Amino acid sequence: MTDIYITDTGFAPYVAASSTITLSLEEAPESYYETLRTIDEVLIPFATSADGRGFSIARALRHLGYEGRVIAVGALVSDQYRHARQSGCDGVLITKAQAAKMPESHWLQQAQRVETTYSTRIYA
Amino acid sequence: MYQYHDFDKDFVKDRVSEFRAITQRRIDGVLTEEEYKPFRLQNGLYLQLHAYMLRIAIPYGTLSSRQMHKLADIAERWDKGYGHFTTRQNIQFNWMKLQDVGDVLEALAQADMHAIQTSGNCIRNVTADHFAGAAKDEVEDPRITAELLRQWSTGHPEFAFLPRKFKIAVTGCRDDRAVTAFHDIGIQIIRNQAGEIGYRILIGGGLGRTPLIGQVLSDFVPKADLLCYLESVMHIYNRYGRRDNKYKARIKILVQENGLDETKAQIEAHFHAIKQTHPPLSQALVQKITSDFAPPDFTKIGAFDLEAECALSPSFARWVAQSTDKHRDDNHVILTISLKKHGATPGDATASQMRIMADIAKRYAYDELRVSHEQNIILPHVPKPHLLTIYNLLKKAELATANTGLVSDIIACPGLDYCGLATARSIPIAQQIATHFDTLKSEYDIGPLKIKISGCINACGHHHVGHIGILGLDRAGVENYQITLGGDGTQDAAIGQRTGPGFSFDEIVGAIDKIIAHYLAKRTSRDETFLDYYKRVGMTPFKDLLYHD
Ligand code: SF4
Repeated sequence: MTDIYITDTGFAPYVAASSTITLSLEEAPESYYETLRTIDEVLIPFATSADGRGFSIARALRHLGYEGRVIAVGALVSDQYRHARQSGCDGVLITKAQAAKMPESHWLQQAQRVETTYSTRIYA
Repeated sequence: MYQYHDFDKDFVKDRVSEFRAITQRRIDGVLTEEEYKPFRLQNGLYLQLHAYMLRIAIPYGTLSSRQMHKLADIAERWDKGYGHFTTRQNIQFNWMKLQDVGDVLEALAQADMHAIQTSGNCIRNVTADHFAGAAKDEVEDPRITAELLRQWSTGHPEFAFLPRKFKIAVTGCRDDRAVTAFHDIGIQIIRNQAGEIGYRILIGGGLGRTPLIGQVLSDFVPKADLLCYLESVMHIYNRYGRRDNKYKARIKILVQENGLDETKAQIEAHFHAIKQTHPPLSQALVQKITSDFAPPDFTKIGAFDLEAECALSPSFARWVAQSTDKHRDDNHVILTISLKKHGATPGDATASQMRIMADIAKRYAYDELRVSHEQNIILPHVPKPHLLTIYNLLKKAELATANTGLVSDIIACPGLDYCGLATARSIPIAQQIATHFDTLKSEYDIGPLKIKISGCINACGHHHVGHIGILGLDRAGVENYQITLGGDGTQDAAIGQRTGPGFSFDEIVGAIDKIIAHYLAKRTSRDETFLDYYKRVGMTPFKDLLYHD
């Protein structure tokens, strides 16, 4: 098992989709969306856990209508699972070393919190 | 006042357990301090000079007597028996122990309170006019909007890890007491020519090392579009705000570097792109919030001759003149309780003072209190017939200082007495200035004058908008105080200008005294306030007297 893919059901080995791309945060996905939309999977990199740009990029992709798999990858901590999911990511990709520090139970605990947010009630 | 739903209660409880779990992960070494820090900060916990400091949210500065009692209990049980009301309409406890913080948050939750998003690089506690719902010329109570924004911004998944903190203020009056021009986003509730209520949005204002006045981003955003519009602002900021330099990371720098036109174009392009699919606001929720803020029934209080009562006691009369403002109902006043007793720490209140204010609010003033950004406590709706009783109760508790808006009603940040970033003391300067003018008994003669003091360039004491601002710096290990003149945080927003080189700790009170003595000698009449005088004569005479005489 190389990297670990985390969804609401817990850990699984990461199996890449048939076409996949890692975004650069410096480039706006709007500017090459016509290409992006044909790709099955988009990875959004997080250089540090304090840099939340990726959450807005995930949101932007969904606004553009992207329907493929969106994965947050990199320096996220388990407490950010909710942010990734609610911003439009399907899951989070971490390394084995990260998983050793933050086991599946930490992530599953956060997965249960995905619904506990004001955005579920302020809109009709 | 806004009444918590089960949802709010569950949310706050969830956050308390989240905080406990994260803190445990930090203690167990799962999280590094760097990873833990954003979560600690988003729950209001700072590491200060001597201890942990917990900043508790008082949304838009409004609280009930029950909540004020809870703050008093916390001050007594977990701190040193007092708390510090801040320029963000919050309260800070400066002597917390890390192991107690979970319990404190739990105690707060019992009174529908929390410390969520009072610090960290997220959308901070939204502030509003402290006279909301009571001011005469109000278009609409700004707390309805502020509460909606509180719910929208609390735990917002996309905006929890911004380049830097983000502050929003709302006013419903033309007289801007919420300092909207100096916020990342300032919101002014207005009525357009068609009579519809909506929002004028300012962007990019701020104090700190680069003080800037907010610019108009939109002249009119309809009510229904507000959240979608703000989502667009935040989205653009989160994507393009600078992350390479923390001093250039606020939205004001993005606006400054890219220009207002380009920033506006980006925001509005995003707004139009998401508008169609943005879900509409829950009208049931809006109605609930609006009805929670419905004003009390003022008609039960009949006409009352306050002037006749004032005529019997000069000290009461002076206190009334200094501490009350016109209310929307003629038989009520808005009362400011000064937390600026001469020589005391501005904004501090003891647990017993908190309880007395809470009990007065409950018994005589519709059970509502406010914290003003000027670090005083407001009772927004006080029936005139109760004023004398309230005055006597406050006086016993040393809370009846009649100095609101005067030279001793100083805003001062914690400075070197508490703050890890400070370069100079600010509280002792405030204390000395207040005591100095109290000894001279000249503050009523001086009239309206706002002095604001910061203990470092971060400007938490808002010195840039003080009529007289004082900034404490460190010059080769020695405290040095720069003076600015002419700042104004109201609708006539202005940034104070520096007089010139700074003054030492021992010289600064003398320098302020010179400035004020000059004004007293040269003003045309008592009606010309210090700020008016400065606007008329400019900086030159002040420079002359400070540096050339
Ligand atoms: S202005 Fe500086 S010293 Fe004062 S509270 Fe802010 S950071 Fe601390």
